[in-house]
Formats: sequence, structure tokens, C-alpha cells
Amino acid sequence: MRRITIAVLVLIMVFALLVGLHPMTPARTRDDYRHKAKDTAESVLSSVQTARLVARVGSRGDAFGPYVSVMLSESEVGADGAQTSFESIQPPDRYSDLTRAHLTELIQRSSDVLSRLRISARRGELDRLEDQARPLRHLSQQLEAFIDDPGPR
Amino acid sequence: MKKLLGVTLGILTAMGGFVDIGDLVANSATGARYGMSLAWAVVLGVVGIVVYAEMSGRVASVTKRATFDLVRERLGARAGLLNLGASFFITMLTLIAEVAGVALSVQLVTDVNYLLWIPLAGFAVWLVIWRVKFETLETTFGLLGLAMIVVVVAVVQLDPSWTQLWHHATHPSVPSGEGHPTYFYYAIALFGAAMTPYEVFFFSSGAVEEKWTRSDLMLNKANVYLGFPLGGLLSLGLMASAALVFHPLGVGVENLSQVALPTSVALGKIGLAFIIVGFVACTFGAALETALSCGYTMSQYFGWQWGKLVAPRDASRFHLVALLSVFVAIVVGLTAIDPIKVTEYSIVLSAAALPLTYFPILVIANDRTYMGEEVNGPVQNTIASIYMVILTVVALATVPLMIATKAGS
Repeated sequence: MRRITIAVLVLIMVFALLVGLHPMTPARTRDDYRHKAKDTAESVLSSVQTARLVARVGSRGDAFGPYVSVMLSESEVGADGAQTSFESIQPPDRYSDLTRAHLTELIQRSSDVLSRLRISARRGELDRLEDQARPLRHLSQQLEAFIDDPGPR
Repeated sequence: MKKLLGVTLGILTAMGGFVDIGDLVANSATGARYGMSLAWAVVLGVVGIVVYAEMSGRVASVTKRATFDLVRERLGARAGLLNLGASFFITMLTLIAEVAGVALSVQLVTDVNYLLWIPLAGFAVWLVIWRVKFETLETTFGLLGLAMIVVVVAVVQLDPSWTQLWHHATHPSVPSGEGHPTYFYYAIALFGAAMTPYEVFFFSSGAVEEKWTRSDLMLNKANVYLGFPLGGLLSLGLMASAALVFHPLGVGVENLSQVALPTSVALGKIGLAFIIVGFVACTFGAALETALSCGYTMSQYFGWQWGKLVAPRDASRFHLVALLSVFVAIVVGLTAIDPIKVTEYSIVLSAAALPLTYFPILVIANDRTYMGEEVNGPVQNTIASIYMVILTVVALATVPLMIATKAGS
């Protein structure tokens, strides 16, 4: 019984660790790559939309400065993390190269805005956030379009 | 009048103490991803915890002994050890998540990295366990946890279409683009969050600590039948607020801070202040409960002197286990492991271990040698048996679903 107990516990831990590491597996086909690109775009869209909401509540005085700052930092980290993971995937063909270029550009533009928002929030310039977040509206639309049809434009 | 006040306080404490970091994250994440279509899993989990917590409270009141004490005696040392190993591991994971949750909550009002708060949060948890009376800590954090009612107010303020919300909740469906395995993985996460094993260990040990007798069975029923479902309402409030604000925007909940955003959108700074107080109370209260549960389970299994009512020098091993558990939680938390991931694993792995916790309670609650006239009735047994089947299915499905869905990603 003791051996079974230990074996069960070890199995659970190994499974948890394996899954927890969330290994980004290589993309072997174009479809696989598109799928991973779509997942990445969804993740970045989530960060962008969160930042838009936070910028709104921050500018309108509906949230405390430290909270806004933490939220915007996390959004930036989220977008950067998605970008790093995505860029580490080897594109399998020329078409995927174009997909990669397009999505990377979208993420980069999003990250730039998120960085500016985070800097303003840390300086206590909360009233500027809504204006600074304006480009995110268009970027979120572009990301949504990409999610609907992942590929180059 | 005094008794009524005691019952009301018990209900409010049970309600405020129901939500922990697992509920905060799981309900908000599923609301953002699936709208209200997983509300059934919360209801299923709340009914389950009500059935089994009532049973464990009754067992503790009648026998004046806590769950693990009886598990070893009734099921034997080996089966008891299997139970202890799994339960302790899950409770430890939950403690790590809760201590990190306290730190993350404090970060929201200070903007100082949560890693710097983890040692302080852990020290505060240990200090409260060491110095504060059981009843005081249970009531204080339970009542402070009532600040989470603000999420229900926020949902009302967001002015949703109630008909649509109700329709989504009562006509569950898997959204397009989402697979069934991921949907059921999240259902299991919600179920596990509602039925976390430590809640039963703490509840039954608390009944012994507070010297419950047969005359307290009514108090047990009131706490469980009213307090827990009201706590479940807070869980549904978290889900609904995320469903209303995040779901239409395609936002996924990855951080604890996001859980507060719908309330901030709906109620501004006052709402945000309430929900952050609620976060601290819920996570701190749950950290106390899980740290104590580590001490309870270990001491009850090995037959050591245990409890907050016993002088520390007489229950030294109980206090040592609680202290070491908090220390491990601090060390693991400081490795910068993602606290939200730890939370997700703790609730999902809880689900995998549920039968180990709940089956012995069912066995003991049916044993006339222990329970006398307070043995389970046919209705309780029917519901509990149905749940045991559900728990077994959930336990068997958890790990395969975790692998197949890459932990719901």
C-alpha cells in the first residue's frame, strides 16, 4: 500500500510538472503554426483589452494608482511573454514567415503602447491613460481580425 | 437571543470564509472564458460541500473527535496513510497559493512586488496561529470576508440582462471554438474549488476545538445549509462579473488583480477598496485554515496532542507542523513560481483526491457504533452516495483531462 501511495503521489507530481511547464511544442505544419499564432494573438488581445479597461477606470478616478500600475505592468508582461514564446517557434515555411512577421508587428505595437501606459501609471499620470490607450482600440480590432483568420495581410 | 446571535454569526462567518484564492481565480477565469455556462459546476460543488461538511460536523459533534482521528481508527493505518499523504499534499499546495494570494492582494494597494510581501504574509499567518484564539481568528476573517459581497453589488450595478444571464446559467453549452475536454476540465476546477478537502478538515477540527456537542447540531446545520450556499452566491457573483465585463472582450483571467477589475468598473474606488479587503481576508483566512489543517491532519493521524485550545508546549508537534508548513509555503512562494498556476493545480488536484477525503466521512457517518441515533438517514445516504459516484468519476477524469488539455490552455 505504501508503494502504491508513493507511486500515485509521484505520478501526480510528474504530471503536474509536465503540464505546468506548458512546453511550447514545435510547429511542424502551416496549420499548426497558424493555430499557435491564433493562441498567441488571443493572449495578447486579452492583455490589450485589460489595459484598455484599466486605462479607462484609472483616468476616470475609479481605481487607485498602485492598482492601475500593477494591472498595466501585468498586461505588459503578459504581452511580452506571449511574444517571446511565439518568436521561439520555428516557422515551417515561407507563408508562416509572413504570418510571423505580421503578428510580431502587431504585438510589438501593442507592447509599445502598454509600456507607455505602465510608465505613465508609475509616474502617477493617471488622467493621461485613456488618451494614451487610444491606439489599443485599433490594435485590438486588428488582433481580432487576425484571430478570425490567422495569416499574413 | 444570544443563541440566535451565535447562529447568525456562524452563518455569516461560514459565508465570508467560503471563498478562497481557488474560488476567486476559478470562478473569474471560467466566467471570462465561458460566461455563465459553467454555473452548474459551482452549484454542484456547493451542494456537495454542504452534504459532506454537515456530515463531518455532525460526526465531530457526536464523537467529539475530528475526521482524521476517526479515519485512521475506522479504515486502518495504511488506508489512513494514503489519505493523509494525498490530503496533506493538496492542503500544502493550497497553503502555498493562499500565502502568495495574501502577498498579491497587498501588492494591489502598495505596488510593491508580491515576492517581498510573501515572508511577511507567512510570518503574519504563523503569528496569528500562535497568538490568536481559535474563535477570534475564525470569526474575524470570516466577517471580513463578507466584504466580498461587493461583487454581487457590482453585478447588480453592471445592470445585466438577468433573463440572459439566467438563460446562460440554466442552458449550459460549450462555446464555439472551445473543446469539450477543456470545458469539463474547468468544470472540474470549479467543483474542486468548491469542495476543497481542507474545508472539511478545518470545519470538523473546529467543531472539536469549539467543543461542539449534540446540542450544537442545529448550529452545524445552520452554518452549513445557509452559510455555505450564501458563500456559493459570492462565487457565482465572481463568475457573473467576469462574464459581463471580460467575456465580450475576449479577456482571459491570468492574474488575481484582474478579478477585481469588474468591481472597479462598476463601483469605482469604493468597490475596489471593498474587494481588496475581501481578497486579503479570504486569502489570509484560508491561509490560516490550511496551515492549521496541515497540523490537524498530521497530528490526528499520528495521535499527537493537537489544537489551539491546548497550550503550545503540550501540542508542540501540532504547532511545529503548522509552522513548518508555513515555512515551506514561504520558500516555495519565493521561488517566483506562478501563484495562479499553483492555485489552479491545487484545486484540480483536490478534485482528483476528493474520494479519499469524503469516503471515510460517509463510512463513519453510517456507523452506529460512533454515531448512535445521529447516523445518516436514507435521504442523506442517497444524496451522499450519488455524490460519491460523481467524486469518483471526477477523480478518474482529472489527470487525463489535465494532460489532454494542457491544463486548460
